[in-house]
Amino acid sequence: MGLYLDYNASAPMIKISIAAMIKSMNVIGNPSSIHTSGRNAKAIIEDSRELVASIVGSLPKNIIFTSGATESNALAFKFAKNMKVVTSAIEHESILKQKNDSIIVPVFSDGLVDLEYLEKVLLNKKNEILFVSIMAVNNETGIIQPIKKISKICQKYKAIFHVDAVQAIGRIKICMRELNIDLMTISSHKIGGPKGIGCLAVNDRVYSELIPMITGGGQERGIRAGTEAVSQIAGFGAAARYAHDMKLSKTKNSRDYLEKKVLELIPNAEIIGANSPRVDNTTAIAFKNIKAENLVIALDIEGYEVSSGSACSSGKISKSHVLVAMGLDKSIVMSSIRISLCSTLDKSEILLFCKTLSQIVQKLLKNKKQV
Amino acid sequence: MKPIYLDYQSTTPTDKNVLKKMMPYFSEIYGNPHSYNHTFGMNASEAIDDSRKNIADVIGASDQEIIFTSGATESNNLAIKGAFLYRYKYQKRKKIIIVSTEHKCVLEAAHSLIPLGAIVITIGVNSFGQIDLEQFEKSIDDKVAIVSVMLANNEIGILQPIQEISRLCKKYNIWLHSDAAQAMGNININVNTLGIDLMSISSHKVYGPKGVGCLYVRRKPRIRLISQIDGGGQERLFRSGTLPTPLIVGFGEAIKISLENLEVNIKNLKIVRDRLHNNFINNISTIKLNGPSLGSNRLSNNLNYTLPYVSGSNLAESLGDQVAFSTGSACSSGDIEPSYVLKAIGLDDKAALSSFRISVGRYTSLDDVDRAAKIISDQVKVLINP
Repeated sequence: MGLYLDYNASAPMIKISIAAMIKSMNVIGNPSSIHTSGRNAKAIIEDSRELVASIVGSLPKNIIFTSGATESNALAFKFAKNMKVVTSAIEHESILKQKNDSIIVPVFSDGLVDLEYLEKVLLNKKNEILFVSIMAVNNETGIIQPIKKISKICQKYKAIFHVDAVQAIGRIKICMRELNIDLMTISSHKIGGPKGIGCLAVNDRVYSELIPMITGGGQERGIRAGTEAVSQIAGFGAAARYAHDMKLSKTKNSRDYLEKKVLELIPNAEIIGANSPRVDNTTAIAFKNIKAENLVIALDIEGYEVSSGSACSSGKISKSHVLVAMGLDKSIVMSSIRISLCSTLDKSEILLFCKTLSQIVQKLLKNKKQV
Repeated sequence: MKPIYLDYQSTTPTDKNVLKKMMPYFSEIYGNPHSYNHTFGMNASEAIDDSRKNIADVIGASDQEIIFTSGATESNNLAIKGAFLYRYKYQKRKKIIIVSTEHKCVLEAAHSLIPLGAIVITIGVNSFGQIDLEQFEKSIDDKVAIVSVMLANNEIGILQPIQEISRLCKKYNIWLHSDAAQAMGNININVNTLGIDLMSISSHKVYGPKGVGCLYVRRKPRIRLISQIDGGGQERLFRSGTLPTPLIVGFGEAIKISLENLEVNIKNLKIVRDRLHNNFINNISTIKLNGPSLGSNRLSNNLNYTLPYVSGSNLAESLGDQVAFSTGSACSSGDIEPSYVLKAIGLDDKAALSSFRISVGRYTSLDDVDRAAKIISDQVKVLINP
């Protein structure tokens, strides 16, 4: 008996997405070709573009397909090359590594961005062209940022607003048009679509000023060259349709029950950001005096797959910059694991998991005392 | 009736066995390959390593020399921008040498570096499309950061003398990049024999899925690149982003299948290609072959013709539901401009616009080419004598 509980790292593909991909693989053509096979391939791409546009609240022509969120973020930052970038301390590495001179806005211990600080920075720098990049939902804690408020502040200072919405799509409603977001990054494999595809959605003004990163045959209206990954895009479109119905957010009961049981069974457990607005599928839990990586490995042996921090660091284990930024004590930072769900689990499954977790925690604590 | 597909250089259908191999990685083995500390992630990671090994073996490289990307366009961009930016910064080498008939993404990647200080030198070709070696030799010196010469041309199929170019590059320690998107699976490629330092490969040109490719980056002597997409530090810091496990698995399998029966495949391609050519020659008196003669240094799947007084794009479009072929590179997104490759081998605008490319592949039968030749010849007769 085991469970995959690491959906924020990567979600299994949903069936309709796999089906869409397989169907599209039978279409031979290169979408840029003028013959019928080529046009059929092109039609698949354009259908998906519409589906993706509708989940982000943008227009199909403003969707640029990329190889994934990392590339989308890099493309957004290329646009911001000569601007003053303001971002938060809890962003994904693909944001934080883009620019050395970004101004980093701190977060409070509840994981929320310090809006007063943000406003002060924008006021101080109001003579420069400002580019604000804040993620909608944090990948490690599931905490939701007040995007509407941030957007208002950005508008006040005429700052361009980029949102990394990778973990938000399908979990909360996020509409570029309503929220006045200028650029938004989306990943397919976090919403049950295939890996290796994503998009950057932009408004008209930004589109005309984007600088391509990958140049060549002029695909994606000149912004992103390379033969379009037709079947990837087909799978992404199908996943977007599924995410549009918010089917990924129906995990609240499971998550809440899991947290309740963990707190009941394990006295030293602490839920991170318990009182902050969070998406329904994520929980980060600290087990004081236990090394998170030992816990992850012990759970894996029992068939439960969870993670410590973000998966993107290519297997290296370092302390989470997100939890550090929240000012949490080192004992909490080093002992936190992330559990992320994608669909409703049976209560019995959750209970069994919590019992196993509790046993492992007790064992690890005991071993530690003996040493 | 399904159109006869004769546009294999534009893209190839995904092989059924490739798709079969990919399937479990969509639904069952879905971990993030970078989550090393749990089993799902580890299984995905192993599959990627196997694929990496498949590809490395085939070109005579080692596993660590393969960097996965989203396709050949990204690979070409990474090779040229990454190598130039490194050598410009640390070794003050500011020249980039390309050939006039390179793929558009190579030309664009090189030219995008001019505002940063690059000097781009473009070498011409002869009437068959072969690089002007004399001009090349005169152009190289110790200020050249990188030379990019494609192994095989996408429009006229010419194979460039890479070994000779490599020998000249070594004199000045110039890094040699080659775009092998069209050559892979159609000729034998060994990076050591050919003396290549960086090489781009595409999956969808070898019956693998679209959206994946790789860049070979030599380790001995060490080639260094400045990465173009930063983030989680995947692909040994050369290329960040979660790796698409199923695509990479499919890519590796496609390469394996393509190379298993390479000699037989080449022979078969030549048989159908030559039959198609003979059909054209016998049926259309005005048709003229562009590029090197068949049987010489030309890809075994490629044909390119000029037909006076017939618009290549009209022909391809009007027959689009019967035979799929193209006017040249598919990547120019349907624009009707004369092919710069054909112009480089001496055709004028009018002749270049009256040209078309046709390419055969693994699933092309003799019956296909006979029927296609008849359809095209009949249409040509209608267009010439309305």
